[in-house]
Amino acid sequence: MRIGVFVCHCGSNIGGTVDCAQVAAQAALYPDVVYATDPMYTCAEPGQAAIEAAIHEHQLDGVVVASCSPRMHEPTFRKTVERAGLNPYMFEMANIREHVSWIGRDIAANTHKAAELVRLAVEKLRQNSPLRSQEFPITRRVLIIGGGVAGIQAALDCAEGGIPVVLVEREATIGGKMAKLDKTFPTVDCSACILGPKMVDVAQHPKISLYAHAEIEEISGYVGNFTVKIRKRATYVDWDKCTGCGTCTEKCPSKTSYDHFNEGIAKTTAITIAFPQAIPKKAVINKDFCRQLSGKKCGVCAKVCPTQAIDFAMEDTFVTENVGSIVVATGYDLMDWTVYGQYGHGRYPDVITSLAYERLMNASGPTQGHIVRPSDGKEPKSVVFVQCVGSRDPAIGRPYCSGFCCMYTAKQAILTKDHLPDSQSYVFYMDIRAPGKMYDEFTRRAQEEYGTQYIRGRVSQIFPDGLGQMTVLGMDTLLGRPVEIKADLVVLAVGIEASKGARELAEKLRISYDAYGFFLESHVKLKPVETNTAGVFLAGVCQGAKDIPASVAQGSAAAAKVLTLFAKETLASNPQIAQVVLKRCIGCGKCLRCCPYGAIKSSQVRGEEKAEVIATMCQGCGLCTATCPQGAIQLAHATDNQILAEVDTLCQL
Amino acid sequence: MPTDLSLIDNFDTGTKVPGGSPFSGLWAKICADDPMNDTLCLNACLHANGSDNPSFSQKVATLSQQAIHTCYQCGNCSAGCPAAFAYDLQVNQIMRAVQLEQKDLALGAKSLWLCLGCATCSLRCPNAIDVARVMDTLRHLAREEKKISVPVVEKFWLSFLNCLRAFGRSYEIGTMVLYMLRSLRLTTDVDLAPQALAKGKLGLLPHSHPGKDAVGRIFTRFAQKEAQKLRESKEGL
Repeated sequence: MRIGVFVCHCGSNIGGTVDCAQVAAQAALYPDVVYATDPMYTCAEPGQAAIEAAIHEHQLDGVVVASCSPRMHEPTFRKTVERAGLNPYMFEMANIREHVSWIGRDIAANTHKAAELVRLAVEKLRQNSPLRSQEFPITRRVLIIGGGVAGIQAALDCAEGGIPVVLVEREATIGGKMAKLDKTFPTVDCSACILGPKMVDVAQHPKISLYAHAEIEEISGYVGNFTVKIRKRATYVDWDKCTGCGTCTEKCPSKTSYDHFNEGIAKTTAITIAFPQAIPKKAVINKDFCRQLSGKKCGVCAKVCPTQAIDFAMEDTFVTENVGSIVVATGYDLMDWTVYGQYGHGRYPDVITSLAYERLMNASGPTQGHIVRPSDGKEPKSVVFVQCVGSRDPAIGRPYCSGFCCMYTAKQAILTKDHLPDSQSYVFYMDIRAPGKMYDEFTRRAQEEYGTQYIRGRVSQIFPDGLGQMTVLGMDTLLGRPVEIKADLVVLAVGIEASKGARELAEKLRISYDAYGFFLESHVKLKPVETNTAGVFLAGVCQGAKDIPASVAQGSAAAAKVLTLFAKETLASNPQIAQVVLKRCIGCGKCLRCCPYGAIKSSQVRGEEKAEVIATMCQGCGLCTATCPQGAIQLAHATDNQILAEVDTLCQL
Repeated sequence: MPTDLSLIDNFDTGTKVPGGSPFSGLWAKICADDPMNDTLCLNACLHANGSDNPSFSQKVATLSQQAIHTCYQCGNCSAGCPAAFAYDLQVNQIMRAVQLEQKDLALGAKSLWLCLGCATCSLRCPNAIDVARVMDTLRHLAREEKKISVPVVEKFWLSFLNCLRAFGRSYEIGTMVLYMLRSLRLTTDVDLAPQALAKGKLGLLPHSHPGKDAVGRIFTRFAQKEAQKLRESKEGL
């Protein structure tokens, strides 16, 4: 075998604490190594060209690059050697940056360790054999989970790109949190006016099939070929018959249901249509509040329905869809702010969340956009906004910034002045985070044009003063004095958390999530919409706090990724998968049980039970290899013999 | 920060202060009185310390076992403080002074001695800093440095502790008498005494209880330990 070794300086990243020339000189003495050098930047264009030239000049049939983590650049160099005519798996990488140069300052020790790592890579490469991937057909359909603005954007972009879309929404209507908002910053344009048409587009697009009031039950398969089981939760209304006329909601005698869409600031009926622009505009019965469904005599809705759409016997149903890719856009929920005893544990009606305040200001809300105190229905004269409630608060386990509260608080202060010109708004803030386009100007407008008093400090306590107002005790850290404000209404900018059920969904999708339930992207900077599971992409706040423009951008980005994936008819499988050595397999079935991807099946070979790997489903995790008592399953490109060759060498060094 | 009103009188009447115009003299005097009016030079105190010589903030952090550096100045400690109205430096400002190594500013604050120890600040802190414990640590350090900016408060505490040591429980009249003698405030709060006596809130004789010797021994043990520490530190030097 003829091996070439390239020890990268990576500028001073490696060269600063490793003597790369010396490592290359040592590598030249390793078995089968015929060429060794130490380029400055191996991944740059001249560096890659040098590898190609060396392969031709020295008739290399294997290449080792000692540089950074293989996570980023192993694919780069595999392509390089492939261009020069080698099999891409006749390449090995030694990580002498993250594992050597960045963790120690002792040049002699670093150089020694780097040389050892190169030696291991050379030994591994000597055991390598060329691997070839298989082509497999893909289902060119996409599943989008979540019908908020990010999911809607992704759905419309995919559908416009010619890809059939299955959109699954947990609530009875799409639109997500944005549908609840009154206006949007920094332009103060009506949220429903800009989102509504997009929602209608979703309903009317021939390539989009929408499952509202539905959830993901099971997901199996792999990139290109996922099988998804969707649970359509019982609505007790036959949506094929329902015309959305609303007669049932007018006549329903149970008028005390918690109104989720209006964030609980008003009660609603047991049978509801969330809001006038709902898509789909269909009625749903809340079974916890329905008299008929809780065993009492009623059935009024069934009697008044002109199309006989009510079906009290309805049960959850399941549908199965085959898709090739999945976009997750499950958004967020507000954290449970009632943990704050100092703000009243949620007992005071005039202390409300910012999302409830949006419903209070919204023309389609329960007060027709008239701002009134929930307690007595009077117009507030003094409104206090408290920021960072449940954000940047490590004491309750939420150290992260919720990102968009500074901006919507400024917007709400502006709108409050618009609605109630006699009112005075106060904002308690810690820092104003307004880095977007026209954002800082917007927060300045709230202060300069609309006379909002910004007070730098946190609020210690909110309590009723017994005379009908709330007393807000805070601190003006700029003045260095505690301050007190009498408020008619207090609006809490409650921090966000990952959508309820996000963790469970992540486990079904086999994607990672952080300590707070937000889904992890594949690379913070360079792969912001990809996940570590191929074919699964992220959009919107489910990945981390972001505002509407960023969510829409990410929705489009995820759609672009789907369209890129589906630009081909087939996909190449990863050849680094498990392989069964038939003569060693005893058919015990342990591998079948431990495989997390269902990629191993049992098959009959000459009358004997044997394991068989389904090549396109295996992800190469190696669990079966570790489990097999016979050593009968080997992971291609990481076989026992390859690993032992490395260990053996290490022990002899 | 209360300003000496007589200085304002001087300003209004144009009385000359020796060595300058009434204006400059006035400002010089106000600035000298008020530590908040000095421009702080930060680099000297921020870079003077190595790991062998822990900085003031490191010392406070170690003694109080609190992560002082995590304070991000939200002001929630001050916002909830029931004694804040009387403070010269607010609690968050004291935390800032410690972060910026302003030992004199922090230890000289009158607030340290006006703190009630109710620990509302600790309860409210979003970074889970036990702020009340930091205040306590600063009081200890101020005593070590013999920089007690409100001496009467310390005198009251000592009087209380003397009674506790002697009788095992609080003894109000004894505490007051000791405090009056120590502070020379011979008439302070005596107007409250008749009412308190009438309601039976002020016993003439100390309460007796069986555990009082045990309480006394706690004080003795503490004194011994302190003496031991002092000896060790002297030998170490």
